[in-house]
Amino acid sequence: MDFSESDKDLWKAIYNTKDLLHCFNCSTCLSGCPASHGNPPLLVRNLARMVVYGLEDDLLDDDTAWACVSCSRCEEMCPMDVKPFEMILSIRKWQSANDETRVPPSIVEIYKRGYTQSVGTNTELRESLGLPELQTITKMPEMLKLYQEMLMKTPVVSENDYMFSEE
Amino acid sequence: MAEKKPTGTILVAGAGVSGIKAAIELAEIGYKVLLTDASPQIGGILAKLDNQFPSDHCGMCRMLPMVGREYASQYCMRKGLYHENIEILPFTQVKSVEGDAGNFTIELLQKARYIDTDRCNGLGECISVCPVEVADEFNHGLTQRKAVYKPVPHSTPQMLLVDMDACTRCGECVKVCPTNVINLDAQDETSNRQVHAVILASGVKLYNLREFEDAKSWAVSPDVVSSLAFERIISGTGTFDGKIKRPSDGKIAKRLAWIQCMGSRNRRQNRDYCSSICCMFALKEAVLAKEKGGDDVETTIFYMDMRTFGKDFYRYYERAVDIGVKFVRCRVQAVMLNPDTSLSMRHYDSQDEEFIVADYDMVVLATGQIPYETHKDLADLLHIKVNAQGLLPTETYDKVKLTKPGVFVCGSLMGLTDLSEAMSSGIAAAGQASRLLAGLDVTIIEEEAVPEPRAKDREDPLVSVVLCKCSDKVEKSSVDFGALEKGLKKLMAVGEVNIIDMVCSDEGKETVLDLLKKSKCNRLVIGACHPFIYRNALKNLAKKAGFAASLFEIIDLSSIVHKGFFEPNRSESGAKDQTREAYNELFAIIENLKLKPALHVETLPINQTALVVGGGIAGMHASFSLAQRGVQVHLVERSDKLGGYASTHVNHTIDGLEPVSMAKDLAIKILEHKNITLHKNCEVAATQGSLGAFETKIKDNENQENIYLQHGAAIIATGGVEGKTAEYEYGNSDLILTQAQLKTGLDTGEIDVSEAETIVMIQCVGSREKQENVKQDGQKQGREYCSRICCVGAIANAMTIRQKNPEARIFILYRDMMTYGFAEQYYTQAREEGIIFVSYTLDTKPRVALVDGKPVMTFLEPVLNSEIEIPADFLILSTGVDAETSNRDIGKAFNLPVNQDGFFVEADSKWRPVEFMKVGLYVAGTAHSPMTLKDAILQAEAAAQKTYAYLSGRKIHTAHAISRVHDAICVRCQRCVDICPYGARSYDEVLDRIIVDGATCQACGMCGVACQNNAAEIMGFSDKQIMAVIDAKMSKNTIGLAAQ
Repeated sequence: MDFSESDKDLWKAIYNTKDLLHCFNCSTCLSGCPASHGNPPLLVRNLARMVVYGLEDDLLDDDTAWACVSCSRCEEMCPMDVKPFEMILSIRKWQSANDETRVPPSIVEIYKRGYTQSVGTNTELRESLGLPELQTITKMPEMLKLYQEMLMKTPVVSENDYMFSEE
Repeated sequence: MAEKKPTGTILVAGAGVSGIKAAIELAEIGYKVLLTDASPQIGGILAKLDNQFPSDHCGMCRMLPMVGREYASQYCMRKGLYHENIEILPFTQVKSVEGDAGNFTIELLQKARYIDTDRCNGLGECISVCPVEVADEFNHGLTQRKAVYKPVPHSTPQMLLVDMDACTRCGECVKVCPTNVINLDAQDETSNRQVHAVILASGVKLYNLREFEDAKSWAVSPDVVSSLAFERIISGTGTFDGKIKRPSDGKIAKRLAWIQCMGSRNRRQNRDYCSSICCMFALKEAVLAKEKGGDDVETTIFYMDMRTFGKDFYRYYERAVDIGVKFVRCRVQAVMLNPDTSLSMRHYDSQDEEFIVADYDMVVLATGQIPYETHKDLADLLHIKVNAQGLLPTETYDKVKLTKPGVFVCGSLMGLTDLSEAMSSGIAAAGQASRLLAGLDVTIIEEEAVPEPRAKDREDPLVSVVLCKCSDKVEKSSVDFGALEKGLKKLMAVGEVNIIDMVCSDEGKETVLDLLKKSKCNRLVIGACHPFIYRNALKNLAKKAGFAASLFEIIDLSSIVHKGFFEPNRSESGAKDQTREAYNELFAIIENLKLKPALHVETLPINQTALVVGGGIAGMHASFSLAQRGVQVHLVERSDKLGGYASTHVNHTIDGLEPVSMAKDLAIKILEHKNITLHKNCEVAATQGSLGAFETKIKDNENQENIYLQHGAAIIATGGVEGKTAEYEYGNSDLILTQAQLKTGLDTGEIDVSEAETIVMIQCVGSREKQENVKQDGQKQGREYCSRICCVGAIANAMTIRQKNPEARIFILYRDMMTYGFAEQYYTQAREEGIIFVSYTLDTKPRVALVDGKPVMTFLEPVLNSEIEIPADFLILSTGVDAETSNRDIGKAFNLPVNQDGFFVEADSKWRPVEFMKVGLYVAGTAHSPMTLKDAILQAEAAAQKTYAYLSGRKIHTAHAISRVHDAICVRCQRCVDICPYGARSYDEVLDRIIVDGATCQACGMCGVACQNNAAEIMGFSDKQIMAVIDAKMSKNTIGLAAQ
């Protein structure tokens, strides 16, 4: 890891609250995070560490913050009151502010299948608990089409429509 | 006639172990103690704990006094506490406190138990008929109890009570009670008492995972239990007879996991402190689970920092690792319930960069200590303030002395203690109270003067038997007292048999005394109930009537009588059996007494002078504490000045104290005190003697002469030194310093950090690793223990640097942050100040390279799993604390054990932290193990109190039962000397004999086992006696009864 380029005050630019500095890397945030099942996984603790170290370039290249599904579990369970969810949002804002052409890959995911994360898993567990099959938007092609048309009206999608074209 | 002075009286509020310890200490001096507890029982959290590490056994009885043990009712502490000077008031709250130090009026509210426990026989007929069932708090809801119940099932006498919240007032219990002691209309009672001092010991509870919202994330099944509930599960007397079963289905659990820091280290819940005990608690439980559950039990501990900071804690951790306890550094977010009712947890492995999901049969939550809400009310009564977390830590050097004069604190109420500190603080609080009372016009309870008993060895044995009828129960009982009397009278050795009603009552005692005074017998047996409570009262009675204490026995007749009463099948043959059982018990005792010699108690004078070795903070504090109470003190210091390490190195501490100036002030007080003789430039050379009469030779290095000091007791307070190292290029660059060098440099201004960009600190240098791994000066040595002070020390220095240079990057490379207790807040503050903490393991130690004389650091960033290389302006090493090298010589001089690390070995690491096995010798401060300044002062106060308790007694009594030597058949092999755990035996070269120190001997019998010639004998336990008792018990021929 190249440390000489790091900016020790980066946390002030991203998430200017001492809440973040309280983090003691206990891993509560990531051990139950739904987005940590993704590929690559969202590792909230690691993002916090990168902010604290001021690893600007690495953070700009990292798209995992966009995988957060806003469930707020990390926020509820963090023993140090770091407010990790707030930090995730701040990272997103900072990334966008530092790169106007940035198109988060998760938008492409959302456009393609309606979700950032795969939600169709755990079918066996659902079945064992007697729950019905999950109705996801991917199983309803017409709804998905309407949804994509709606997304196309947002600037971030329409201005970068080449990224969203049908294969 | 002068007005009678009041007896010195102290209120101890809270009867957990620290409160009990404080109470015993004060009662031993002769003060009267009121020991209250808000709960219906005594013993606190420890009542539920069967096993304490490192021995993994119970050792609670080790709290009891070692000398004059026959004057206290010695008994299993888990069952109860009895001391004539302690009035135990369970279920009692302090409602108000008026007045000042030396003159408090307290109002006590005793809640109704609805059962008169003095008259209750504890057999629980009421329990069997009670129709109400509720969850039993004692077993953490794992079992059910009735509305009338025993709060601690194993307590003796059984302190029953009615839980009015659950009671339906059906009255069944009242109807069935044989002693008519249940009153469902009983009222709470208030009383006013006068006391001279108050000790607060109301302790903590443990975080209840079903009480807090966030805990729902973990407590998803009955198989997720708290650590204390697990203690009940694994207890032999607990829920499942010691088998590790799942509460949900009773199946044997093989895969166990512990989650640490439940309810502590939590800023969000306003508990930004470390509970201090849970790491060792969990370690012990994991080790026990493996030992009790078999090799195939898998144990995993999920932790953040393993805080193995105490003496020998780290070695216990190593043992856990060796037997296969797994450690995972991750705080899991939730426990998930699988469809098959097993539990699963997911954690992230930073090294392999993958998530791991594992299944468990049971999950134990290491629930932390949290304060009772009532502490605030108690503090309000006393006009003192609890801290932000609701506890009462002091802000001064003295951990037990509160801002309100005359009020002291001990145990976890003063700040989340472990067992050993609970003990030290209990003793220290007692010490502070006794210092206060020593200056007041109060008396102590003197032993009752009794006439010399008629113990005539040459007389034929003649036994007087007194049997208690125990009110009207005998009439209903199947035991035939008439037949018993007749039968006993036929025995040759029995002189008389008297059947008395209610021996326990004052009238009963008068009757017994009158009868015995007329008696011609020389031995006495009393058959009554609760022998442990009445023993002392009856023994005094016997003494008054002229019976030798050693020729008096009391036996529990009540359980046989009561058994006869409740036995449903009261057939004639059954009744005969019970009479026979009672007869056999009495017969065996009489056979024993017949052969027992009269044993005499020796009274030894005590030299009321104390010797204190070491003039550091601990030694000075102990000396001053003793001198203030009128004890003459010889203080021996090797160097030419007082003060020790702290007085030269520690200008200020992180908690705002200034040890250097404190030490200076204390040194002046020492020099000026008329009771203290200071011996500078002196070293201990040799010592001999025992409690009460030691003689120590000290070498005066300045004047080249030997001085001989007579003293009754001694305190060893030799201190420690900063550890040395040759690791991390230390010594090869001016930029690589120890924490102490940095601290001094920062204070003097010789080290300038204002221009520094990067400062790196490394913790645990040479510490907490196998000694063979660490090389110093080419020699293999190191510290296989945590030095306890370095983590906070490093944080303090880092914060100082931060003030001088807000822009510097400061890294602290640590293995486990040992910021236990409220020190956790400093760790949080340090992070808030931007100090970066990076953990490393023994496999990933940081590396240093010197480039142009500047240290360049390479270390693994474990969160991001990548290496960082960074040039540092300063590299600071935390080299720990080494034992004072002279400890071994001093140990030899006093015949005291020193451990492999060079620290002194106390009598018991949990229960007797400041005492040595050898009575009359004590330890305080870093001589014991590395500790903070406040802890050293706490121990010094405790050691001084232990010393004072003996020296203030002016004389000590040996016990009746002690070992002796048959000189004629002794071959002087000295096996007994080596094996004696109390150091009571020694070989006298001049006399060429083995000498037994009567005050120190505890009659444990080890010498008898070790002796190959049968030359070691425990008085009053001869082979003849033991065989006679066995014969009597085995005998079917109940001579007397058969003849009727």
